[in-house]
Amino acid sequence: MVEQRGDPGPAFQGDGDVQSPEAAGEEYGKVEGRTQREIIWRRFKRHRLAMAGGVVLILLYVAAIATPWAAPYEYDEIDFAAFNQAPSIEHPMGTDRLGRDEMTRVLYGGRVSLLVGLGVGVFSTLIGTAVGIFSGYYGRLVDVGMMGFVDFLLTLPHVALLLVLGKLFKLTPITITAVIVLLLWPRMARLVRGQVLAVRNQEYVQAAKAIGVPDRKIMVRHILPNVIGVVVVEATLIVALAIILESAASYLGLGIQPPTPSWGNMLTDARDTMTQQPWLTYFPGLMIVITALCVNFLGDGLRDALDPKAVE
Amino acid sequence: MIAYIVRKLLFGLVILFFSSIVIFGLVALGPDPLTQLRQTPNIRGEDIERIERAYGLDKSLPVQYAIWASGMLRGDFGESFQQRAPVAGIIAPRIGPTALLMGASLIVSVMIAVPFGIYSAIKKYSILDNAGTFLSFLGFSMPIFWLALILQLVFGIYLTSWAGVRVFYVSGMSSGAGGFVDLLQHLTLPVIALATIQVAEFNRFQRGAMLEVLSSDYLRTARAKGLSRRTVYLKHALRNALLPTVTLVALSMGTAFGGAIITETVFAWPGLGLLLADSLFTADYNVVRALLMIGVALVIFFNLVADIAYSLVDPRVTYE
Repeated sequence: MVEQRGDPGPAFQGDGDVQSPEAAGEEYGKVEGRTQREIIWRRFKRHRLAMAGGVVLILLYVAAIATPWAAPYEYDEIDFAAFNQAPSIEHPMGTDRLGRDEMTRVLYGGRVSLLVGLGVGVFSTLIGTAVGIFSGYYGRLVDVGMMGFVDFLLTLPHVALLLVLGKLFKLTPITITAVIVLLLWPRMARLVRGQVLAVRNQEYVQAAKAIGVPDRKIMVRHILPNVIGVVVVEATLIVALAIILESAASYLGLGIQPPTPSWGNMLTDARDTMTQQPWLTYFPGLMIVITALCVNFLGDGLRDALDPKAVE
Repeated sequence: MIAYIVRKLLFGLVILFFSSIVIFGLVALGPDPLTQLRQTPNIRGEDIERIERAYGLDKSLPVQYAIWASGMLRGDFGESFQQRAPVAGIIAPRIGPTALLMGASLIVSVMIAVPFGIYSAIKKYSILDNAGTFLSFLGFSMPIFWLALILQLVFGIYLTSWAGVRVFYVSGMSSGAGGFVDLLQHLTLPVIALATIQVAEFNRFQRGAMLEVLSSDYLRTARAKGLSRRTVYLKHALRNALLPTVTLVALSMGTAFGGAIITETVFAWPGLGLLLADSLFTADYNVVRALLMIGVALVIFFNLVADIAYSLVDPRVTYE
């Protein structure tokens, strides 16, 4: 979809000489279009909350990567002279009952939460999109079988199942990512399949089939670009959901286990001394909210930007 | 319609059957429920064998599954390892509190979210609408257990010390005194925690549904023929905008059950969720299995309710 600008371009800014036909063909006939990418980027930039969310998320991920070098202390470094200190210049988020620096622990905890969020987002998207496209494109028995399985997984109570799995297997950041992927990819598959059904019988797909384009190529070249919009938006929802699910499981002692700090299990410790050291409850929770909020705003901005029906 | 419901019910039974296999198998993978017993110093080997026989743990897994599954068909969910009592009897008194918590937060969230969503759509991009959008996103992004902790801190501890009297309780369902006011004092904070996310979800959805109706042709016609705004919104738009919400509310009960599990755990609300958390920690696996089956049945049931409700309120929808 090429969009034309009102500005006719540099041809009118010439010095008045009558141009040769060749030159005119080059200059005058040139339409300054925007590529699809430019259109989306322009729309996205206008969504200020989404821009802000994106920037904060990038900062969070940079901080997570840089934590081992940038953190002021070690996450398990015990300072016997500084138990339960309120936030101060030395310890911006205070210290916990073992004298560990809260900000350092929040930074390390963020590595886990952000890794789980990203991992779940990426893998749920890959699996869900692939299954959704296959199922929707081939239809018939493939569709019945795959969607039957997807419906089955969607029926399982997610939170309860996550907690049970957390009890049965001691979860690490990697395994909890795998478990949450197992719970969330069906959402993506269902959504993508619905979109595929809507475009499968479009003329351009029929035409591609008629001239003998292989199925694999039709799916990648014609189907995938049509579903990418909803996929990206749903992926952000899944990332936010994954971060919240991980923190809830870890909070209940059925996710990431101490001494590895995660925002969820830091809140378990904080609860016992909530009245005396409320800052230990505030900071990890705020980080979860801020991260999920940024991801959700990003998703909302992408939804608007990627909407093919949107008008400028 | 009846044929459709029967087919849906059959599909639900198939899903229940497969879930029962997955749930039984998963839980069987877990640590040995008799670990504690085995480590007791003076216990005799024959005693352990006797207990294993009593609970059927000496049989092979498929046989154990067959006994468990056929028991469920008769309403027998097995025995609790910890409480030495039938699971059904342990679960039954927990259903009421969970139903009360989920029902109350459902009513509260619908009563807040639906009118506000409609208002937001009519006054699109007004200050209140924008504030509602922001708050909805905040609600989506809120981990329910942290919100619960903050509510406990602010309304349970700070408010109590500030007011000098306890207004809201932060744990349990009753403080012995009983009565409606006492129940309300216990119920309020868990309901706020659980309803927040539902309000966010319903509000956004209701706003979207109303916006879609407002841009439809028949509404433009209604306005063009000179009807007052009030009539157009209340008589023509409202009814159609409410239809999709009926479905959403029914479908959201599965998610709400997950939220209830976490809320109950934080507030020690004596429902199914707290029972699940407790049973997980004491490795009381027959209780865990039964609760997971209830969770699956709940989702299937509400999916069916959503389908039926939708066809009842919307005459355009027919199922074959």
